[in-house]
Amino acid sequence: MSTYIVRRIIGLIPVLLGVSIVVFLLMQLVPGDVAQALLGISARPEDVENLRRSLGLDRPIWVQYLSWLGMVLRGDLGISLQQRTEVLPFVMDRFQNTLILTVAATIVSLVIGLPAGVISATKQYSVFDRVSMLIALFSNSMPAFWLGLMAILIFSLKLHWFPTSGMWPVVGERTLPVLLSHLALPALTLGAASAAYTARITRSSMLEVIRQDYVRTARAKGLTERTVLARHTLANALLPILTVVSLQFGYLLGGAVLTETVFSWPGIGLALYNAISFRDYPLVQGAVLVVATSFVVVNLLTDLLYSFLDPRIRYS
Amino acid sequence: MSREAFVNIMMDGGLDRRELVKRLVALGVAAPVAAALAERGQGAGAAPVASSAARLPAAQESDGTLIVATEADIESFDPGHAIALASTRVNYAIYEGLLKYTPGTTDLEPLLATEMPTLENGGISEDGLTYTFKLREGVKFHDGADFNAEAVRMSYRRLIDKEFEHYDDTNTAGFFLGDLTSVDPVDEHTVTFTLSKPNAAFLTLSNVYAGKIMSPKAIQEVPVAQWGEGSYGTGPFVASAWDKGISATLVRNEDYWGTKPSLKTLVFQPIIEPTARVAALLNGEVDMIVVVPPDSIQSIKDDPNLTYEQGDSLQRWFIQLNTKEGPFADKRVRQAVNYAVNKEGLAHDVLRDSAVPATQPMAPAHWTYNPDITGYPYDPEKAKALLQEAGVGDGFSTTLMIPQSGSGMMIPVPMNEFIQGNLREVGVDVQIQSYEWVSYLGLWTQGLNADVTMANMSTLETGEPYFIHFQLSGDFTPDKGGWNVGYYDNPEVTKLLAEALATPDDAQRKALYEKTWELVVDDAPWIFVVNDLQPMAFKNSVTGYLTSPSYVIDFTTISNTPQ
Repeated sequence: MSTYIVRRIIGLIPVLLGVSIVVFLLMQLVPGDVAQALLGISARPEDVENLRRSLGLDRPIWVQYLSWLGMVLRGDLGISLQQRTEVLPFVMDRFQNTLILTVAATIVSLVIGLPAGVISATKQYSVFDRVSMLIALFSNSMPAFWLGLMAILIFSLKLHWFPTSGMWPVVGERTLPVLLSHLALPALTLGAASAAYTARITRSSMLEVIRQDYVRTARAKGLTERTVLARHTLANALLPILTVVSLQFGYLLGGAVLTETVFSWPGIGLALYNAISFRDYPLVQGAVLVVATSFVVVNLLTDLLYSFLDPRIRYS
Repeated sequence: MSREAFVNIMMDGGLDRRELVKRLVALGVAAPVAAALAERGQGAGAAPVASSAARLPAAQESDGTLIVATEADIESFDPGHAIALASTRVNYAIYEGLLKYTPGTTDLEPLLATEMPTLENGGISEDGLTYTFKLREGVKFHDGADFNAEAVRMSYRRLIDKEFEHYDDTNTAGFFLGDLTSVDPVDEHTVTFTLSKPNAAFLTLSNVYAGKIMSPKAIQEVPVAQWGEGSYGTGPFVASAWDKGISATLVRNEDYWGTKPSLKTLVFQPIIEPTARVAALLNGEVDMIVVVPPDSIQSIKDDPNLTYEQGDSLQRWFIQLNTKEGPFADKRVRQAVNYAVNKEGLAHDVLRDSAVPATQPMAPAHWTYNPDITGYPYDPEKAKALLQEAGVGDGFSTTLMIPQSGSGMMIPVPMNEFIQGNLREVGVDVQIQSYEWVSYLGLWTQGLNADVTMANMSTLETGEPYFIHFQLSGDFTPDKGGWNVGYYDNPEVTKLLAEALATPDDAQRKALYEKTWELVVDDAPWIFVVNDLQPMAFKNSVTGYLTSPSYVIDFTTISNTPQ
């Protein structure tokens, strides 16, 4: 088991190298560079040239990449060109904010999606099944942007339940209740689409298992329907659900740019979007490294969870 | 039944309060009821949703605090690194120049100097190459250092003197200070600026923009890269915190040498998405918002608790045309597209009157604006006749490049689509190519070509016409490092612009510029479209806001006292 984990972690290295090279090259392909972005509209060409030189952007691409890589190997992700701050602490802070949002959204997704899927499967073609699957289709199809603005309109502007933006009020104390009130709408918006997905996959996965012989046997033994559903059906239907949920989780960790923009949530998606707009390549590279690492780690944890849920699965 | 009554019944029914909130939360109906529960006393800790609902009004009542939701985060507290309006708006409150714009105008008045240098008082030399300032005494920087002639010198050396050990090689002041060669103290409170060539815009360019004065102590002791993080000015507010991308907080400078502001705390919170910015104001989370999106203006005007304000500005929004090659090389075609664009309709229908139609390069608020120029009123028939005359009566196709957003660009996509529709009506088929802002700047500075013959841009002019030189003079085409991206080259205009910049007398200079605008409008190297009116909105509790054409907000006169 532990050798398996070590092997997977070592496997991370080529992934990260590949990702960083691809992102570095992509940044070079986009017109406009950070010198232009920093100096803005009133930049004279000689100023842009000077700045480019002083930032080392006039060196060949591979030299720039290798010097960045050298720094990373020494544990230094460099300085953000736009924020003029160290990349690592900044990225970790934003990543943590995204993690909070992602966990909350996943909870929303499970709390709504799992029961909805289970009920839909047990009462296939019932009114509940049709209505909930219709709602699922709707919330999965609506863009997060629109959903977020609607949530603001209803829950903030009409009902005054929750604030519209930010993670904390800019003035005032920072307590858990305050955080939760700011978290509610973005988590709901982000969780809605994911809940829809969870509900649909739960339903189909349950339907598959529910027709198995051993479920019929369990019923024939006289077990209560609740036990049949929980112990024999859901437990066996969990693997595909776990796969989908964890994939979604990993995906959301990359930052939900639209949701973060609508709610001004200071997460990694918004930071990455700004960094790309600014051609702030140390920040882009740093953020991408953290996101890629987290994605791989989440996948690894999921694989380990498989063996916990299904004792037949063993890694060596 | 009111929610309070409901709560009372439920509570008296013996349910544990904590349990009740938990159940209500689970039911998803918690907040209003839970808010009432929280109001019944006890700590907020048990009822997370409740406490926030109860907190919202409390935040509004915080006395002497103003929260401004802005279009972007600041780039830096350091005026030597401020390009976008989002940054200069904040810097003005922290740093001061020797001069400033008189609030509400673009006239200059002394700030850290005690008088305006003029030809009459000998402050400006006859040859226009040296400017001498008398400095205010008894002023201290936020870090305790004394303000004096040496401070002024060091503050400028950090920006222009490459030999200086604390020179900031990434500063963005080059454009404004290009002609300045040295700053030399005469005595403790007198300082002289020397220029390489006469520049009538110098007073405006140096002291009002990047050339604000920074503490010599900070320049020597703080690493260059950290200047933008701290508070090293002499201004009425002190920068106290900058949580990047989240908020920048300023507090009142209790030792300020001038009239102290009424506000104790001033917070700038970037909310990039315009609709979300409006929502935050409508919900009472922020006190003031900038750059109100046109579609929200009516809902703000309809809200009895909010005030909407707009006023003249020095901004221009225009489309540059390729005058060198392609269809727009013919002056009649350029005039035709000017007649074809319905500027009134654009300002009224698309921008909801938050802009005025433009008639010439300068906005009406600019002192060199020529009121005799009527420009090109909307007249599609005249446009068609001119196209006919130019031999392109059957129309033609071309490409317009635009940014998707950008500082001062207003709402470029719907605006350009409106213009595209206008031009289609006279037979000009325009393909729009849109780019994200930094990509766009990269392409735009390369200039127009035979295929892409139109480019959209906006500029916030300074109190003296200055950006305009780089946009209209034949000496500043893209190959020569300027922004005259359509290669407009009228030798008379180029000569007049250069002459105006070297003319120290205001009246003579105004006459030269007015003549220039006349020639430029007739040549029509651009489509003159609109001038922004800087739409703003704030709570009724906010008083003392004054619109300035330069977009500067004087926060010292603003107070926020909720009823």
